[in-house]
Amino acid sequence: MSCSQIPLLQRLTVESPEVVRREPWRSHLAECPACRGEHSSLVRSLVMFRRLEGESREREFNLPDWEDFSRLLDGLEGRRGGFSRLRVPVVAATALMILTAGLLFWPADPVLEPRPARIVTLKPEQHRQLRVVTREPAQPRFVTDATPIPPPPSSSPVLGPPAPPGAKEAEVVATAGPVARPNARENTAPVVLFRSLQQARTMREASGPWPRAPLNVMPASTPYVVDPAFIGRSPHAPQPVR
Amino acid sequence: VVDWDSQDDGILIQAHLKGNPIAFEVLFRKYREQVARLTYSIAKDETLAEDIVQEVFLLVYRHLAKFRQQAAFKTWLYRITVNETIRQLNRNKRWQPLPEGDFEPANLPSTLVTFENGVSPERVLIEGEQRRMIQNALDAIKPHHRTILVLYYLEDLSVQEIAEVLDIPEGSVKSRLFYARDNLRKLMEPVLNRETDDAVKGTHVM
Repeated sequence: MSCSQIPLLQRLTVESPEVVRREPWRSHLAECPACRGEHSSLVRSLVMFRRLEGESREREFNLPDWEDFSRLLDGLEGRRGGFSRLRVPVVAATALMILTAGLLFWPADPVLEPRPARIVTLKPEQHRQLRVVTREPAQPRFVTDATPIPPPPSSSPVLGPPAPPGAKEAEVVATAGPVARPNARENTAPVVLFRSLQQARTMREASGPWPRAPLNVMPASTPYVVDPAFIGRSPHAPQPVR
Repeated sequence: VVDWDSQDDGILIQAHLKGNPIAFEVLFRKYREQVARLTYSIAKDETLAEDIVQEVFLLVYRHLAKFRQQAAFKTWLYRITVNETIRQLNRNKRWQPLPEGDFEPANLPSTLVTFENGVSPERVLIEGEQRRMIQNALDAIKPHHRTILVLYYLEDLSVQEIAEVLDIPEGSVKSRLFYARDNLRKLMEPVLNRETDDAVKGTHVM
């Protein structure tokens, strides 16, 4: 039960419980059993807290004495001095070597820099994972899996023939289209392969509604299955390593 | 001959910064138990309280030159202690609130003296199982509430000093104090209600 006239505990938000010793709190407490109960409960809780917590911390702690602590300080100071005298030149030289090596051998940006395609022989069981999609006969594009590709509208690319034996696996850096995983059987939408992100962006901007699809930037080592017959023939297809 | 033990903190700090080898030792001896007690009150962990003394005074030793003497050294020391205690507790995942059943008043013996009966609460006699139940309720106070209650009721710091220790506005200290008191009252209420019921029935023992 709480008091509806004077919310005591709310008042105690900004005051201490001792405020109730003043008027008009004393007279209100005398009349209101709800506030009296709350106040009593609060004060007794605080008394318990003070007493028991106060007692429990008056124990004997096994604390370090000054001799222990000063030895620790001496050790730290000595270690810090040794570090500064002997190790700083070594650390500086090591950092300089790492920095130089980083500047010399830092890899080129795998996405923005064109990378040569990694061509490997396609396994026989992977042949049917490749379909060739063309919008026009002169512009072949490559897909990772064509089963089942829905019939495309007239403005979209059309499904080409299955990949021939001897098709290759190539490394790409970007794809346009909803498919992010290469060579997956559940991939059902056409995907265009690009060797550079710039090429993919250019292609996407210049094209119609398709393949203005989400541009998936792939890890540089992602293998894609491509038909060697189309390598070099499409401006968007991976190029073989020379 | 200077009696360093009777010097105030500001003079000791200045002397230490000027290279006096005694001054920091005096500060260490003067405050090490207070640091341990404060940590123990917050963390309820004796081992941590003993360990933290060393950590706190190492921090003080390293950063004493940065100490601005606008605030009291004790407040600054408490700030380091509270921060270090909470940091250690978070690191060790030692915030483990007790299960609620531990302080349910189901089997509480009725040996408490009630406040209503005109007996001073300072004379409350708490022993055995009853004390354990109450202590369990007190141990279940949330750590941030415990910290502010300890600083206010056990360390007797003012609201302004607590604001400096916790680095929060005074209004926030008052607000936290309210919620801490309320948390304490709610945890203790089952125990206290049981005690009151027994007192009304005349079953309590003095």
